[in-house]
Amino acid sequence: MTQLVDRTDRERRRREPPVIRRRPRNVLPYVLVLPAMIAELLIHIIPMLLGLYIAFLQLNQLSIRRWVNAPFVGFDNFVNGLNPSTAIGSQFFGTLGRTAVYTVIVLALSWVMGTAAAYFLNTNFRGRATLRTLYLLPYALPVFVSAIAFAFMFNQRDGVVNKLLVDDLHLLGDRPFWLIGGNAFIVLVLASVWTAWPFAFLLQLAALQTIPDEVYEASALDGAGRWRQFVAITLPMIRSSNVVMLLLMFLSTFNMFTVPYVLFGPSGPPEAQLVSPLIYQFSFGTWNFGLGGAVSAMLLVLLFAVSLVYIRLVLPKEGNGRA
Amino acid sequence: MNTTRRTFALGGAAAAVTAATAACSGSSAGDDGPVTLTWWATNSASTITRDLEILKPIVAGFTQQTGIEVEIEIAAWADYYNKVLGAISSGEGPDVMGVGTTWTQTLADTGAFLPFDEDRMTAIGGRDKFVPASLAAAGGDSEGGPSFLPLGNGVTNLWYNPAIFAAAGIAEPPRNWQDFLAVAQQLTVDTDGDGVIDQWGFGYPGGSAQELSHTIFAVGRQYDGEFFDADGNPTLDADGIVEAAKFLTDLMTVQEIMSTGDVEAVQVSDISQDFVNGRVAMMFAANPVPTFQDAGFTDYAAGYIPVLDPAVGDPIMTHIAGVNFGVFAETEHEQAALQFIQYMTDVEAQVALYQQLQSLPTNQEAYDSDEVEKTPTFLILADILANYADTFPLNSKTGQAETLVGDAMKQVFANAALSGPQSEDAIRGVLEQANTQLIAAG
Repeated sequence: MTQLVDRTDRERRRREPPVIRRRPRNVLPYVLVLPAMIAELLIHIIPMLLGLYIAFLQLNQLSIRRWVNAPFVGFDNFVNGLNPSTAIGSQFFGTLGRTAVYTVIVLALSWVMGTAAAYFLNTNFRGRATLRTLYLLPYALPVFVSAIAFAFMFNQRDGVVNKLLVDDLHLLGDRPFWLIGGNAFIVLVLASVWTAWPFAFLLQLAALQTIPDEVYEASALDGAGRWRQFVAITLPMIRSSNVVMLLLMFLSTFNMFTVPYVLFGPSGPPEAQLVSPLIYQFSFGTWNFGLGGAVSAMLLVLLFAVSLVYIRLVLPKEGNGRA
Repeated sequence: MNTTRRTFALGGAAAAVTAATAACSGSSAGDDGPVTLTWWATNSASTITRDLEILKPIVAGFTQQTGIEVEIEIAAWADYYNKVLGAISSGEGPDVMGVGTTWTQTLADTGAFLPFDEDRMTAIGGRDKFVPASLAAAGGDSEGGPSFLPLGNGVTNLWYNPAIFAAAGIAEPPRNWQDFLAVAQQLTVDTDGDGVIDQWGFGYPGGSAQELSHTIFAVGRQYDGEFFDADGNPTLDADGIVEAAKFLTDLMTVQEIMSTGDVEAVQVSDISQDFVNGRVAMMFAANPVPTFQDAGFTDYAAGYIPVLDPAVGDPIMTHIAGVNFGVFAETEHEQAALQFIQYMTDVEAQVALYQQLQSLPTNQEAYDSDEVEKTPTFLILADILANYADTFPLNSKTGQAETLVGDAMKQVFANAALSGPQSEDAIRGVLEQANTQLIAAG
């Protein structure tokens, strides 16, 4: 009897269309990312779109109060800012080239210093923790504090650098200027490397710690020296972290504003002028917000294109993270 | 990509960003409750805290008279221009806003301030109560009334160390440039015999774009050069400006009466410090007295900035400096704001401002007040304001001109410090670029 009932029930179920049970949608992930999305919209996306809009306006003191209704001037600001034959255009392209050189030098020096320090501090020795902490100190300091310290150190009259080079070591006869003229670029690079290299050190150290000791031990048995190990094992195995780090450092260095602004003030020496302070000067120095917006837009496109190419060519593809 | 976006936002979205930063201010009052005005005042004392200590008791008298509370926010000059800009672009600002005298026309052109037409002028006590030069510098002759009124004036003048002068047997401060050069050269000496000059005849903040723009305005006028021509077109590279710029840089490289290291002095206080330490015997500054007093320094006296003799242009020694103030157009308390402006420009408050901040009164009657002590310094400053000071150009682009000509002069001084005397052609080249940017500002 029981079997009969069971069979009948099973047949009935078979005949009935299957009930599709919807899983309740999990909204938690959306809720969790919502604050970040709102913040991203408010802090980056909306100002960015407004900036793009401003690039097409003649926005100055006459129109700033009702800036949404400022006269639309099409691509005039782009033509004005990006025509190399005009004073403003040539200034922009000169600054762009200088910023590219500056970025390459800062990146190269920071990478070498960060990688070297991380490589040697990845071995066990007494005092390692203290040195690691010490190396991170510049990163812990606010950038403007470091820049102020550099401005003091390189002051022509009272700075410690000239005291050392001229008064103590007698390497130079006259006290050179470091914060104006061509030397200003050197100080800018030094101050930037000082603030940037601990970031490279930190990421390289984290990457190095993922390499198993056995690999080094095996290579040592095969007779590999430390340089050979570094080139053949270390660099390939930290490649994925390296390429991300270089991209991040490239973007932050190219856009550097704080260090030159604090070192030299709103109007730095032409020899050390970078793109971000130049945009600031266009926008706030001359109240030419349209021009500032146009140059910013072009810079965004440029950096976006460079980043895209870099990501396509260099960044490891999924499943190919370790070389 | 965050960094990329940040750069974009930095320049491009200026108005939007500044709008956000300014959104925290504004007047507050219910329709039925007591009115509270917000006043953005500018830093005039040695510190912002000291400013508040001085202004609060003065403003308390107004509250006592009217029942209107005033919330004072002291702004440091360094970032104030951008803060004002943010308030204008967002419409969120104080009821009463103080501004630098050199920004008057540029800010008036934004339309963000209520013009003092006849009715409003009458409400604050009439235009006749003001010193004519002070009112003119605030745009007093503007059609439809000025957007600002003068709160307190100042002039840039010579300060010298009487002890150093006496030790060198010099009785009087110089009045023309020939005498100035002779005195400064006499006072530029190596006092300890180590082969290095440690007392300079003159000190000047050659790294301060703002000071340089003000000085080149005045000395440029002496050489018959102006920032704008009669039609209001920029002429930052005018012959008179170029000649004045060469004269000023030659003080460092040809006359050698000031240290080349001064090109790294980015603010007047750097030179004031040198003055206090006896490193320089003469300097130009607008009211460095609070700095001297803070340092306990007493060996100072006021004089006149030298003029050309014989004259080429006008004997202008300084622009009319100081602070103007206006009523923000978005205020909900216009009448209360006008009452406050009347109070602050009446004799009592003007005398108090002079006594506490050494700010030259803008109220004519205040000069006759017995409470204004007629010290030698006061008499010199008042004489300069009345006879040797002129209004910074009242042109829409004056704000930008001030920045651009200051930056250009900073570059000229840096070039001179690095490579010696500058030719007029080299100086003209730098000023031409500034002029081109000013024209392009639209």
